[in-house]
Amino acid sequence: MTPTLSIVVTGRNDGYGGDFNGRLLRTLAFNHDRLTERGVPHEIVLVEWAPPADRPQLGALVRESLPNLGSALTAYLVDPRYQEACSLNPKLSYLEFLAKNVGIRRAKGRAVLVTNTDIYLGRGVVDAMASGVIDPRTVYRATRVDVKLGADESHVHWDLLEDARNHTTYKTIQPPLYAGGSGDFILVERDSLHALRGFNEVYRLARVGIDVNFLVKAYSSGYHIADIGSPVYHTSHVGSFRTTKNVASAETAEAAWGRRGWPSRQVIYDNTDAWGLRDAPERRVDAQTTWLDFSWDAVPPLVDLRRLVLPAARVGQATLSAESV
Amino acid sequence: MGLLHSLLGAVGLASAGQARTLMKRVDAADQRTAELKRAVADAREETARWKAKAGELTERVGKAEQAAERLPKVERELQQVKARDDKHVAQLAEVRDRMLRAEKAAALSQEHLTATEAKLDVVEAAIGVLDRRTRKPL
Repeated sequence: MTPTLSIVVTGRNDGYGGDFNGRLLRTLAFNHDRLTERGVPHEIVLVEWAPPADRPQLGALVRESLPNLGSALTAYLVDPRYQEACSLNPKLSYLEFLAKNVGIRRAKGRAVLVTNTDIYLGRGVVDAMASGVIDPRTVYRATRVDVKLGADESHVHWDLLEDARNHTTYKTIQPPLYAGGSGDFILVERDSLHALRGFNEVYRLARVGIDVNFLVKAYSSGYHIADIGSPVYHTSHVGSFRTTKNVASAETAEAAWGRRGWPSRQVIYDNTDAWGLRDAPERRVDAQTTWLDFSWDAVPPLVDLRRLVLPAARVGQATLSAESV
Repeated sequence: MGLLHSLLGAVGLASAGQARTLMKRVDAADQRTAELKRAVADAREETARWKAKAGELTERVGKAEQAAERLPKVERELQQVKARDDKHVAQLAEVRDRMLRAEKAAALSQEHLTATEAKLDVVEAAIGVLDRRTRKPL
């Protein structure tokens, strides 16, 4: 049965941001339970990009800790050599959006939600998904509310998330792009997302701004961008972009987010047909886990300058201003 | 009475009644004379006013005639000014148009420059990657 929704997340068992695994497990459990309660058939596509060889795989940890996920979880393990082969920035330690493209490419749901492992879906978001109204050629965005949940995050529920006293920041999203925490919530009908060929795989020097860059591409491709009308909730953690972007050392910042200040709102991309490591040889590890072997055939060209292009203006669309990320 | 009047008249006298009547007629004539004098004075004043007005009007007519004589020249000058103005408006529109085109060209150039910078980033990064890959086996 084709799921209504695929949730694409990426991560690896490296303790990113402190207690990465705990955040992943809590949000996966919460989102799975809420979607299940509302009868939304869904799959969770977990992409482990360059997983460390000396630690347990996240997929196995999730299955062990959250047995009720059952067959809803699909894990892709991406050979670590892709990180080095694909990277144009040796300081950037994690090509997050190439990893997400791996999941998007292989997602089976009618709609694909690309999100992060520290995001709780809001009540209205789940309602919208339950209604099944996901228009093609529309990118749905949601406001991200940062919440402080205290030391104990084991019993998260909507009442707690919706309580304004727990909110730390609340950045509203504005047309035309509805940017702001974009990587935390991008929901698109699958075929429409595939037509856009996922996130930028040409400018592989940065991690920050790639999500906004996707919105610019979608917008200039004539897609409608809309606020889904309800927030998602993000738990602040050590090393998150929002909390450390102004205090991290240059080296730490480059390792975490890559080149900053690149023209993510002015220059877009045209990925090759093989985006999302299409040509990576797949090896089935178990019923829910697939390993993507390394092959140079799957690695996008080191340089493909024709694929960095200017966004087009469209009739009836507001002109994008050159705002910084 | 008639005889008495005749007798008095024969010696050059008049009766008291006749004298009173005559006095009344003299008073009336004096009054009429005074009125006529006032009327004549008023008429003179009026005439002076009209004269002044006529002088004024004559002066204005003169000025108007002078202005009318200058009118064709002024009209010609006006036409010249208008023509110059039209020319300036057209020049302004052209300058504005050229500025808009220049602005668009500058914006497009800026966009291409930004894209080129991004491409240079990629080229530079790729050279770095290749450099590292080349050095590694050695």
